[in-house]
Amino acid sequence: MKIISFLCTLAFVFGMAEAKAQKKVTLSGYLKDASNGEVLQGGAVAVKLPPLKALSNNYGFYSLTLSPGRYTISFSYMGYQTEEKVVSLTKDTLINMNLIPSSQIMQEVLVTSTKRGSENVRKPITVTALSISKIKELPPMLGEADVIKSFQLMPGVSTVGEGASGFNVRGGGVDQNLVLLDEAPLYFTSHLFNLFSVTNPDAMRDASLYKTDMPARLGGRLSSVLDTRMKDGNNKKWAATGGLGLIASRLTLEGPIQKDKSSIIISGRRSYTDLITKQSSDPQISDNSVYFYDLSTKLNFTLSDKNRLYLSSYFGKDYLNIAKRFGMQWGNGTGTIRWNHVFNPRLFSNTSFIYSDYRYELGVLNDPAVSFTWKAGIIDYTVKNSYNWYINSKSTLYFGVEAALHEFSPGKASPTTPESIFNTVEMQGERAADYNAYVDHELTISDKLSVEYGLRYSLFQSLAQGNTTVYDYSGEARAEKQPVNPKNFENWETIKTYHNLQPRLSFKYQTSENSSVKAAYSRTVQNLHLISNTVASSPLDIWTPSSYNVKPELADQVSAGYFHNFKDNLFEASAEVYYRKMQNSIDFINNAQTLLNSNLPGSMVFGDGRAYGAEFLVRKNEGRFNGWVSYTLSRAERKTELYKEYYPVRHDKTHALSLVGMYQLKPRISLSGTYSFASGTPTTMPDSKFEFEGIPVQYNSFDRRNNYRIPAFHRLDLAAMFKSRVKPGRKYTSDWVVSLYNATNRKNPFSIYLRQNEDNPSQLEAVRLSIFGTVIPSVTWNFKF
Amino acid sequence: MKALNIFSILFIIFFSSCEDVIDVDIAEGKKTLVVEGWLTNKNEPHVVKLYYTGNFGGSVNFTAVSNAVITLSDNAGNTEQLQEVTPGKYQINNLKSVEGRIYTLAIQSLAGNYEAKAEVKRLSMPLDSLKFKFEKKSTIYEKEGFYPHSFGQELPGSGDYIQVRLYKNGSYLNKTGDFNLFDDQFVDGNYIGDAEMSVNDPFIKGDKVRAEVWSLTEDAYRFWLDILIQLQNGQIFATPLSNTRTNIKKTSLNAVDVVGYFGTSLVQSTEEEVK
Repeated sequence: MKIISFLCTLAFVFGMAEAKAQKKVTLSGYLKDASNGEVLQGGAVAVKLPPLKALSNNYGFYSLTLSPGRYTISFSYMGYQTEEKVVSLTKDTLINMNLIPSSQIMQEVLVTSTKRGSENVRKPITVTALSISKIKELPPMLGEADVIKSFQLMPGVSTVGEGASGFNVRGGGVDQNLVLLDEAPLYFTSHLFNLFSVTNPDAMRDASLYKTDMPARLGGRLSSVLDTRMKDGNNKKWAATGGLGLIASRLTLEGPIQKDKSSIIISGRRSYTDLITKQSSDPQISDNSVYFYDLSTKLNFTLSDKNRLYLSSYFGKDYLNIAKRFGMQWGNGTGTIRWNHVFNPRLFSNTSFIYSDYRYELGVLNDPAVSFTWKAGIIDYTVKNSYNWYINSKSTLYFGVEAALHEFSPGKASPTTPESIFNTVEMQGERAADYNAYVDHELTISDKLSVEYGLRYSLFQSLAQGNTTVYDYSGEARAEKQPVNPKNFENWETIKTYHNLQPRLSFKYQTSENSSVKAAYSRTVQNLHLISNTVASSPLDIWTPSSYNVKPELADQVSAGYFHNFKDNLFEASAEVYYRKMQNSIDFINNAQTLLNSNLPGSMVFGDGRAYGAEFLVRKNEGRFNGWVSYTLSRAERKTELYKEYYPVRHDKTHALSLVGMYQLKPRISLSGTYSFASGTPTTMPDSKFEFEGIPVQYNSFDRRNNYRIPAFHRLDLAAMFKSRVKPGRKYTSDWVVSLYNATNRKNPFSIYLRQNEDNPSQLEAVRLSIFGTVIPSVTWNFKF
Repeated sequence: MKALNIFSILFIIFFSSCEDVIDVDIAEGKKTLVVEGWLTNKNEPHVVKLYYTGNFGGSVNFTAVSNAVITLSDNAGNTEQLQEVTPGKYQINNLKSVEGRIYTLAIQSLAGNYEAKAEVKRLSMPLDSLKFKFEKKSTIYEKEGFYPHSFGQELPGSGDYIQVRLYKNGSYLNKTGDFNLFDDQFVDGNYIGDAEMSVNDPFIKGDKVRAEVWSLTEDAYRFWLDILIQLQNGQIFATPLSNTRTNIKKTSLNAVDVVGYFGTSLVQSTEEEVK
């Protein structure tokens, strides 16, 4: 903690010195939604002459340093009415601005005219942002808006197939994305066999995806950071929102604890899939029970103009019970305490204490002879201390330190009855300490040129959890290697330390008022690795740290892009190219046992990856008809000790196209549709066979991985939203959402594989698996009080 | 992974995910020699088959490899040359497997020269009885009928592997659901009572069921597991298709590639009628 207090002092002293040295004044404060007190992240505070602008940070705080004088200051945020204020600045001034949502002013007016952002052209780093309201307009799968699935419609973001959890960014695996919910990492992001994302859109305020070229203040994973922030809760009045869907319902309550000062929000979801299955007359269905719930809670307190406190928590769980014999549950739990402190108008700090926990449990319940439970999980304790130093209107410095302790329980299986045939088996736990420090400078060099560059340093230590023995592994590459040279470590002793420097550089050159060219280089490091060798990652997959035998994964990426906005920023267009190289990727020997394997490193093989591609996006953000078209041309490949030539990875998709449209048909009726096309993903198929004791055995004679492409994927989803009439005096509004998922009733292949022919056991037959073999209609009723 | 298979079943039930049989077109791979053979202590002649791999679609008449010279020997000084009884089928007339011995199969053929070594492991869990339990159709039991349960003492000392082969009215059950492979990692030294075995199709009253326990080396166990994974590996949590391992090694230059297995086991058998 010494380093934190040192940085605090340093920042404070610098801030003071800076303030005294120049005769400038700083305008600062918070941007908020006037209707509910929610902070507005990424809102613009601008003066016309000289043309200067500041953006509000994640907590709504902005800081703009100017020479003393009289200014017309505009406060704007997309979807909100722009406010202008004439201010005579003679000293540091605090203005907390509440902006009014334009929908509130222009009820039932179709085309809203608000200030549109041009950050995609102006900022060195491009953030893929989707507003929660936009996500809610997209056709929902079974009535539930879904953050992760919505991002999959953006260029460079994909999935290995419908029903697969998580997402892939620029050729990276699903474990290469850090999904943060109020800064707490979520280790498994799906509910109910990957039907829904674990985050509840009703409880969320913002979702931003940093694809590969991320600033130095972010890190931890190779490919992306999906930064989602929970709403703070309405601090003006009590409100309830919710929805009743076919398989799940939602309810959110929010309101002031002390008006304008503090608020609380509680938001929950639960599926009634268990009640649905119970109704079935078919015991094959009614014997099973499956459901999920999640609960998000957040409190925030404005202690003073300089201090704010946020407490947030998330708890989600999935339960599964098969035929009253087999039970399973998994879920994330997180808690975050955050303290915002404004040292002076130009120095903002945040300190976070974060807890995150992912665990699962499964077992045989009502069968004494074979009863067992098996538990595994990961727990994180994290402290972060970060600073935003608004040096002047052209220069902002972000710096901070982070420390985390990770505790891994890779698995413990134990009998639950004395008759059980099983013995207790416990895998050796793992522990790691993870320290990071970063400096990140955003600098406007001239009217045309600006840069954001920085350095992130990571120190990662694998520590012994209890008395631990580690081994070297020796043996043939293709077989399970055997442990040799045991080395013993006592509890908390350092087993291995890794240092990594991660330079990041992004620059932007303004080619015209509405267009710019950007280029970036970034190195990212990943010290937590998902142990998975399946097509889709499952909730049973465990995480493992960089350790004695597992090196940190590294990625280097260069990217370049051209960004152009048309018609006063009504249309955004971009074209980007990237090339990434990855080192120390983890793979496994054939048919490796990845769960409950105490010699797991003996089954690991390491390799390199590369990914490259071009991404195009044209987007219209508002108007009666809005939406976007995105297209990605890409390739993601890997080679390992076993497969020495580059081969395409399982989630490689050559072409991916998404068309997204939303149309306001009538004031109270809106329609939306999405169409997705993607090339088939590669899979491994045999080219010959033999028989062993009459059993057909597949044989891939050239031993090539992913040598066959499954057919292309097409899907059309449609939705219509009908809003209730707003009557004066009536306190609630509601809407109906009717949707068709896979409206063309297409059987999209998830995979193709061979199986034994039932009638002719010595023969094989090829099978196409479609996750959703039919159109899925749904109806949802949403309400708001 | 059974838990993951159950996921897949639920997928099918809830979301009408479906499997359709389709045609796929893949160029045939290079010809590879297959060696198939197993020596046990059973009182019957054992054979070793030599043939080439074939196209994976449809029924295949595999090309036999004739006129090979195959010699089987053990580390106790016994040796025997196999006799080709039909094209590509070579019979072991005298040798039987003996616990602890290591057997070497040497092949000289037009495809090249090869060698396989296999050790006979102890039989770690002889069955003392076999019982049947009627199960109604449910998510876990796709088909209604009698399911076999085995009883027996697992010998103390870890590192044991067995296969239980089931025969219904004399015919060997070799469908995807009939594999019963066990290692003692989680059950070492315990009495295994009432452990249900897997069958593709449950039995009906009157079926005569024979269960044979075969002792396996770890490598042989993993060979069978490789086959099992291939057969059950298609759903959303599938792993990449992997070739089965082999213990046949090339001993001559330019020998064609080889797959298959030569294994040795001790076998104990129990028979029971379903009542």
